[in-house]
Amino acid sequence: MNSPHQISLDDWEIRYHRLKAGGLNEPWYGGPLSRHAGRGDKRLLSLRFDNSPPALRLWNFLLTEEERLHQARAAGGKIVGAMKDLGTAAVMAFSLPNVTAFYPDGAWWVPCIMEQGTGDLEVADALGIDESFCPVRAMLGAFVRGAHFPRPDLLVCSVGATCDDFSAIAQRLSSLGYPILWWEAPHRRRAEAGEAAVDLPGGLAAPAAQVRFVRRQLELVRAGLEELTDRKLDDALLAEGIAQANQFRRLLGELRRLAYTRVPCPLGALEMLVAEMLAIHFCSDRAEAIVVIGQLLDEVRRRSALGLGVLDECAVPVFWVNPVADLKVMNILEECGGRLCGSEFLFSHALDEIPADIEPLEALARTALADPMVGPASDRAERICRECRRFGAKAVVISRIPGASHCATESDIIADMVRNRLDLPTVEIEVPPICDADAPGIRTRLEALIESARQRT
Amino acid sequence: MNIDAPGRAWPSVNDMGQPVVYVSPFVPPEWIAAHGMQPRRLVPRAPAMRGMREGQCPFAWQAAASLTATPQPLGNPAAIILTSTCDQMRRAAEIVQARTPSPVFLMNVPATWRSDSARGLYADELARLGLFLQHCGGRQPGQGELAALMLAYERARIALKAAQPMLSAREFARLLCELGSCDAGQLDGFQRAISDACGQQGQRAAGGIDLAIVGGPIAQGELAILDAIELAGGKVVLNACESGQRCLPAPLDAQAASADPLAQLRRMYFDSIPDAFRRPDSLLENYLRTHLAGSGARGVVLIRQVWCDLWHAWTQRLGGLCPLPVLDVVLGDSPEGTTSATNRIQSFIEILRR
Amino acid sequence: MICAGIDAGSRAIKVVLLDGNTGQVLSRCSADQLYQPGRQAQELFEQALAAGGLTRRDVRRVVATGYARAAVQADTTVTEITCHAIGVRHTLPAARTVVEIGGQDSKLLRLDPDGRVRDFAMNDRCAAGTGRFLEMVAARLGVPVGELGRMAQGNRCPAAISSMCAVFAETEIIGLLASGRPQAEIIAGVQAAVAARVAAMAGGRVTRPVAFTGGVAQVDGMAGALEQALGQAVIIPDNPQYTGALGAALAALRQIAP
Repeated sequence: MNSPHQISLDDWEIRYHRLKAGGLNEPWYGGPLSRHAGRGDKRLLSLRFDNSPPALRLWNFLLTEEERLHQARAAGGKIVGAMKDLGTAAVMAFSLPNVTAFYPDGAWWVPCIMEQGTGDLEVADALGIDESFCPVRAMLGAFVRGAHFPRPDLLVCSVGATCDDFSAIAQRLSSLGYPILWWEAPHRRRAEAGEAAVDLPGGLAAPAAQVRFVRRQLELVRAGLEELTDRKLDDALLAEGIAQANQFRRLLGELRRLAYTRVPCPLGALEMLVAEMLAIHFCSDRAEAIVVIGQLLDEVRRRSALGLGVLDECAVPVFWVNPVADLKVMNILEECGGRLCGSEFLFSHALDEIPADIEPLEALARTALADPMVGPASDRAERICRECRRFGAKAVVISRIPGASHCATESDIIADMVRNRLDLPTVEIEVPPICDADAPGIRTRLEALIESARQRT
Repeated sequence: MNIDAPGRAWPSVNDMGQPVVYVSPFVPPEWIAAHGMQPRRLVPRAPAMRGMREGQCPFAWQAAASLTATPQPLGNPAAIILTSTCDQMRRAAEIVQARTPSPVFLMNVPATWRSDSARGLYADELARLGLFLQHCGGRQPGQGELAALMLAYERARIALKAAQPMLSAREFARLLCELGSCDAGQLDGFQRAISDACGQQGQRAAGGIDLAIVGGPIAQGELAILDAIELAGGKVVLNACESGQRCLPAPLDAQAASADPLAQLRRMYFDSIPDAFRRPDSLLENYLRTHLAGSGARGVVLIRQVWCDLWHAWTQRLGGLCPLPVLDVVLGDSPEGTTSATNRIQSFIEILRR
Repeated sequence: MICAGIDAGSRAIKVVLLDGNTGQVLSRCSADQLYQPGRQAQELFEQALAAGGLTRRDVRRVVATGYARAAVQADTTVTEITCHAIGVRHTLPAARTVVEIGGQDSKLLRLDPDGRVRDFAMNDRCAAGTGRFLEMVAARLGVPVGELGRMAQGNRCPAAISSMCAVFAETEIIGLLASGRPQAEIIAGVQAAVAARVAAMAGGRVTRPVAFTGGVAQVDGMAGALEQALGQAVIIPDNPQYTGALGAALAALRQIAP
């Protein structure tokens, strides 16, 4: 039972009590995973989880975010909803003491976890935001119902070269009386002849003028945060916030390196997806996120050193593009004989370290401009190809987000570049918030992909 | 359904020099013309279906298809200008860039508009566009020359606005596109075109159910929906689609233009044109509130392209904005989509008539 | 050495028995899929054995493929994507693209010169690009599916069936019938619509030669419609509906003697 493997929620129940009896030390949010299912997170019943205590802590950390936010409110802290941007505004907010940032867009997981029983989507429907929008529309329902998180003291949202789904949903929210501080993320372009260029994280570059522009936009965010807290968000605080974010990103970077390259695979796709998601907003507690990810990394290091893993050694390394609404799909990939060997979940700029050797706001502006969504899809595809090489991918899955306006065009550009440059088999799937009805089709596609990859080796 | 307007031809590239093609109303044609080039406003002829994937905006897809077709129906444009005003068009630009030999300029039109930096970005983009046009064979315009040209376009716009009550919605859309495709030398001819159109449209029905149409871009072939409204006994008294008066720039301040024409262009276009992509969208909200109330419309028809999230999100808000019944018409999900839309429009007008 | 391939598709079950030494098909049979694909596949397998004068002991290995492959008693399963590629490699070795239109889904496979799957696309969510759409139209017109092609033959003016949704397309067809449009034009229009839907999966990238497999390949007129939509000639192998089962049998053979 102690050797690494993947277990069901029922198995975790038994294991949890054994671990507890053996002296398992847990933080306040610890406890058996089954309690989350009991509260309505029924999707957990369908998943298979890593059986390690650090994985248990990761899941408990993820599934207690609502409690954390309510605690922060009760303690008199300020709550900032950092929307759309996935790696900059939250870093700024966490730089101020007594401020908790969270990611309201994350409500798109709620229908999955709750097996669509929340009513969030129904509220969105009633507000004219139907299923032709991406599942982030669940956020609208979450706000209106006052469910899942307390009403934030400040909402900031990046807009511009982001995605129309979210822009429309956020505007709808604003029209319902939730004021939003909008900031502009322009389409990232290449510097033209005679224009100064600036290097961005992730091997990208942009004209210096664009960086200056984004910096001015982030000044607006800074001013909003200062007004909210009545405290100056000076460079020293920002620098410390960046250092903390970078500490998390370094740990996550090492976790990705090991989990994606070691044979046998030391950590499953599901836990890696959750771990990467923490980079966006630290699950509303930056310090604890660092501890959680650190423990997970220790476990992966231990397993790697012992040559232990959760999957068969011949699992085919698969690179995954775009996040999924239904976590179950990550299990399905492994059941089909694949293993995750890299990901581009549309927030790669939240994985790269923020430059620490330049002025903090300048560094954050460069990071914001490195957002894969604001640049051309070909830039994204370039990074995907680079990471496929780095992690030894043998196949690529492009997971379309239902209703997301960017996927329809972007997927072809990415698939074409992967095929042309790397000659890897590629498949496109669409993952709805609950994929049970589509699971046979998804499974066939993933199995066929794995078969194609195996034929080539 | 035939995609061409009955009677009159839309601007054709055959009788022009090498055009600079653009799609968005946020690109000032006078700025292109000032560089000695031929602005050419592209309104795709028909909604695209072939090769289009679920989720793609038919209008953006068709614009991209027109610009990348071989042979090039637009006659090898000297340059193509697309804008970042929506996700779909921004991504279409990437496809056009990859598949056409013509130079492509993707102009950043900020979604936010209240900050100095956003306004500054639009002005900077106009300046960058100017350099791009020079690179494509255009010449650098003198300040006085630009101001004079702006004045000439303004006169043409004033004439068009004055003629609007005498024009059908389709004819107004055609003339708006024609104005956006005039170079300096063609503006006089445009004034004559307005007169001709008014002469031919003299019989425009005086009665009818007053309607407002609201929404985004409409392909040429889909403009049949405007005819359908009029044939069903409706009368478009407010056209707040991209092919209507909503997307006309604000009136020119000639004095300010002679001092700083670029700043004036920014004010006329960026500061003033209300649209669904702008954040916050209070410009559009205020525009609709004011104009719907002032138009005397008895009903509103929201016309949107399938998969356009920005206008789709307005479906419910429109109802809350004015006490008028709203009909939601989705275009582009099939080439025959206007047929079913016609049925709905007829029913809508019947209901209003009662 | 005899191998068997069982293709438990969503619309029909097909069985092929193959002599691994000669590469010859010894027996093949098919039946519409009913409620219990596992049991039905087993019965069909036994029928195929009987038809070939064989017993289960004569068969070295059985591979199941298709939508319900997991329900079939077999030594192993392989997806229909791989099986169609293997089957086409056997029957049309030069093929670089495979279009398969089955009862409930359609696929487009791009192959390497050595016949391995380079990439693929599938439509199993919308009936408009599948044989189901043809069945629906046949039922609406009151004619057997097999007659559709003959009825549309020589038609030069296919009706525009434009809806991407089969349900709405049916509404269009009702409208066309009501307006007196000849059945032949409607059928030709439907075939063109199915072909267009399949061609959309290709995204404009089709490498010749193109093999057309699956049950729908047997419907007269569909190959022409597909050629029109793809802008390429298509080749139909013998017994196109058995391509997946044949591929499964060949996959079984490869597993014994790689």
